[in-house]
Amino acid sequence: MSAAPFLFLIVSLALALAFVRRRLSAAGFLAADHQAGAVLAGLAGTAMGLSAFVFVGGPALFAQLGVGAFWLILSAPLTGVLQCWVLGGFILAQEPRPVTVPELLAHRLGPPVRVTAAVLLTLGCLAALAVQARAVTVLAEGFGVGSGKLWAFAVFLATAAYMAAGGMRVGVWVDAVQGSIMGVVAVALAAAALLDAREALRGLFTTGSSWLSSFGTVSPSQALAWYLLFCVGTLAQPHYLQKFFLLRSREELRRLPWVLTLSLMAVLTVWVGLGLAALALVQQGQLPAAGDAVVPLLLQRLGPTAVLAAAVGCLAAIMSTVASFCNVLSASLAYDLPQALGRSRWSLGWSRFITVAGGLVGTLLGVESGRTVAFLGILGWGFFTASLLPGVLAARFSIGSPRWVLAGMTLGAGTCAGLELFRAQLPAGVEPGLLGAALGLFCVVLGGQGKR
Amino acid sequence: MATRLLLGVVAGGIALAGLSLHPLVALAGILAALLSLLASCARVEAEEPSPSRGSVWACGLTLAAVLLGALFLRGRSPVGFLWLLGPGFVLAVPLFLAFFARSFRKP
Repeated sequence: MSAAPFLFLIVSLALALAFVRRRLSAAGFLAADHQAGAVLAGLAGTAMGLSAFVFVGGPALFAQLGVGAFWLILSAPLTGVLQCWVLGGFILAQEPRPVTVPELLAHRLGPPVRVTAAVLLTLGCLAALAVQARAVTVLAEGFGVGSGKLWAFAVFLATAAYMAAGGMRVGVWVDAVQGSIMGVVAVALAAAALLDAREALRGLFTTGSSWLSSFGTVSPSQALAWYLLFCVGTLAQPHYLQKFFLLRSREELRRLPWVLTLSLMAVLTVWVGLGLAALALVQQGQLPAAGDAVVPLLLQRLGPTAVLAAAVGCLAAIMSTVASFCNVLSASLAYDLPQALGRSRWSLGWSRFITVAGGLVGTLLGVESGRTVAFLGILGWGFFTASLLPGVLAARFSIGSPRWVLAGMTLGAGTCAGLELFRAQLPAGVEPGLLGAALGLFCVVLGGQGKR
Repeated sequence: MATRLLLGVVAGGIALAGLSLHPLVALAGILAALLSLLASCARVEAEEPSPSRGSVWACGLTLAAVLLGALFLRGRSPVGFLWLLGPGFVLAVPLFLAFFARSFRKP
């Protein structure tokens, strides 16, 4: 297994070498020339949107909170449709076609909003990359496959190599393959775990344990807040919106919700399957209540094939998410910021450099400082929701003046980050991401209409 | 103005769910936010392709039924979990997909 990181690196470098001499336009590097069909964009979109948390953290949370953890993914049947209906048609109707979220906002709201969005995205992407790198180290050590740091750098270098060489022209294909692998692995692992724990599950279902009530051990208010955060939050995650920039036409958009929803449901079976099995085995005393470590223990119980399959699934999930964030980071710093500040010429070399350098900074932050990661970790889903949702909805529905939108995005980001610093002191159920988004949106709605 | 009002309701709904003072208040917030968001789309896209208002209501009623059902079944195990897994997760998929198919007709 210790040679596996180098094998990954070699395959990815070969992929990178195949593309490094090609001349790519900004649309090619950042949005695969808008040529992806529904299946390709849908599978890639699912892979980009789901991290390794789905394979390990989510099931472990289910084992700790019971059905309460289910509320994080309960909105999944709706989110694919919601994204396509609220934003998909709007993004595809823009002329010229934008390739990034800040550019989309700039179409109606102008350069200052584009600069703000690019800066917020840069912060959020660095934080997300750091969290992914940290996840690799934790997972590698949990699965006992060697040095966590070595794995983190190998995964980053492998991903950065092909993303820097070919951008989303390569990324969309690799992500789609990884999305397919994640779906197959997730269904297989869920089925294996449920079969293995069937006796324990029978006991869990017949005893009427409170873990299987509709909110498990989570307060209903908290569960409902999670539901909305992970439902409307999908409208403001840059790596979720990226698939619409890849998409070829409105005809493909009509098919996209089917691919998105079905692939998402397939991958999320692992959350319920592994989680339910782990919960039942812990309740029956056949597994220790070991927090996040309960999932690796369950996988070891299922055998080496399950461990290998889970490692492959996690790797696919992490690499696709890292690829997406590297690309968004490169777009923010090498495309949006220069253009908003008056430099119209896009540089492929600079974009490639940012892909590698930005990704490297994120990875270094992740592996070198747990404290920094804990702080940066707050700039995750909730931060993107709080900062980008007001801007995205303002652009979508043509409301708010640029000045008020800018204020709303900044207020949302500040509120979320500020409240997250004091999360331990907040009453249960208060959700900083939602409050930030609400304040930002209020700012946009109540502010003047104005002109660009 | 009406779209601005609907988005104001979206913001209010998000705030109610984000503060989570009481489960019923949070539930009302979720429904207000999501229904207003869908209604905003229906309003903006009134010209083409026209989404069905009936679909918006069907979507809202499904959400309300699933969430209210969860609150009603909160002390019951494993019925609460099966309710979420069945109507909430698996059975909701075809409804929402059909909703999109109807709402996003070929122009």
